Amino acid sequence: MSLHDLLLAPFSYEFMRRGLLSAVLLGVSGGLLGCVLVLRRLALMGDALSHSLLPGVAVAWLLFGTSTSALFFGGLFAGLLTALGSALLSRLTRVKEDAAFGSLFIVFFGLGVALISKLPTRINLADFLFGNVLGVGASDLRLAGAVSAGTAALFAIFYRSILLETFDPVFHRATGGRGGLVHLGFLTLTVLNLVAAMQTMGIVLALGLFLLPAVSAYLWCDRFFSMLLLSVGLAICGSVVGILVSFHAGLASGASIVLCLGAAFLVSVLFSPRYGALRGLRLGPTRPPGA
Amino acid sequence: MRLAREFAVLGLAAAACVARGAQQPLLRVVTLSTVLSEVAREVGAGHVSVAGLVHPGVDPHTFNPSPADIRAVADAQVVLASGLSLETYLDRLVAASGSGGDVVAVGDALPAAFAMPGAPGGGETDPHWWHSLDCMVAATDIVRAEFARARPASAADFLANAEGYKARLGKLKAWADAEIGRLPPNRRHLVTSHDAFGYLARDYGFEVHAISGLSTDSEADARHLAGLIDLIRREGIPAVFAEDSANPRLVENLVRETGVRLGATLYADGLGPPGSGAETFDSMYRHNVRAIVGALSAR
Repeated sequence: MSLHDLLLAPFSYEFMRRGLLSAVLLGVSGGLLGCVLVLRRLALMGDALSHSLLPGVAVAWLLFGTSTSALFFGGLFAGLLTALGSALLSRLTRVKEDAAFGSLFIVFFGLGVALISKLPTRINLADFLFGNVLGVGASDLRLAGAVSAGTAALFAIFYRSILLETFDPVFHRATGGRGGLVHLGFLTLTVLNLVAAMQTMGIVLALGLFLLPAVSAYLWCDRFFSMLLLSVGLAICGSVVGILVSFHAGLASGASIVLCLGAAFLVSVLFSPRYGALRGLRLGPTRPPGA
Repeated sequence: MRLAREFAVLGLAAAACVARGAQQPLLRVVTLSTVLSEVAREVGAGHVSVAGLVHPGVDPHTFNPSPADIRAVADAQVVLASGLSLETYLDRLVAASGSGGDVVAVGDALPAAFAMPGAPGGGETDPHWWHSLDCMVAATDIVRAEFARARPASAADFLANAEGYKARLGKLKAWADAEIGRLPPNRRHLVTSHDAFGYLARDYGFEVHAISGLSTDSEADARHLAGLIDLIRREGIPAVFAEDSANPRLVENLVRETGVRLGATLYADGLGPPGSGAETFDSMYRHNVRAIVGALSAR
């Protein structure tokens, strides 16, 4: 097999180009957002969020049928309620954000299951909510592009606020930063990205792109900016290699990309010179300075 | 509404019993397939009450029984399932209900010669047997035998009903033979969302190229999709088909990429909902055959 067959021929198919482009676009924003999620210990937010979308989707289904945009906005609405609700609860009450998130999402999930059992038809909603990276259409691509560009632009504009709010929210507030607002904005952006990613590419790939590159980068970098760059770079590389592996080996494409990102994570977790497991076994665990 | 319909059916059936002076209560039958609901109603007309748990348009591969469904199974004297592992939840459902009724997995009871292995590589048997009219005839006999065993007194009626239904299936087969006969053999390529039409393909010499496997649950991979695109171009296949119970995204991508026509939506996993024009087996089968022949014979 020539190099051309290996690397370029697969992209003579339009569905491969679209699939890769959507994974790269949302990989960029997922790589950025994932870093903040990992540093703020909200890494499981995506997983929780995917469950909380259900009631919104069920209601949208009841009102508008299988229209994908209706399902998107239904899911988005339920996701925003969960994320912003838990942020508010953690600020107004004693409950920490992860516990608030966990509680709200499971209530929403329960509500969704109850609603679905009341729907006139017990169709498999997940099949319509969660897309497939090989089924990305023109409108999906537009959505991914808009969400990704918006996320990158907001990161550039509010870089300083995000940095401060991530590492030292108390200092941020003391110096006049609108910490609460930055946090709520960040959560909104994350929900928007996750719902878009789940709908265009499916749940496995969406969660993988938002977590694995960022955790891997966390094991190599001490500076926030380099962590962002490495995370985005890993997301892009994983998408390209994963979709090629899927093409040549005949594996499910979303899972294949996630497995490539998982391999990068495994290598990082074992061999990272400062924070890897092998070093930890020799010298005892370390804590990173700063990031 | 559903309850009202069931009561209406019950009422009609009861009236029929009274008219015949029958004293026995109706045989309570629960089915997990829209097709088997029709077979049961036809064969048992006047002697059985049929409750279908899987509604039209619901994906039977991923159906999720509710407490009301479990209660219906518990009360049933006969439970009819498609079988051949289509209802992966069947054993759990029956166990949970504590039902003492007879559970008949019709597909498993079909003559061995009718069963068809699934896609090469997978050892599974294709569970979508109702797309073969020969299987439908055999299934009618299986249901008749089961009813006759549960209600020997009505066996003669069941036999007469079953023969009537089989005669209609025979007419349908003659129609389908003529209709598909118009399609040249080199045009008999069926590209669908999931692998549900193996039986139709075997009966009429189609080659099936499905995007995903026997269940709507299995996920497609990039190599397979690329292979399908190459095949459509190489063979000049004029149309591909989406199904009622599967997400059409991947099929739409095939259409975008190759410029083939998207044929009418096929009913892969059972009958259509009221008003769909595919709410009986006869109309569902005719719809599928017309859609396939119409789209594939177009230039």
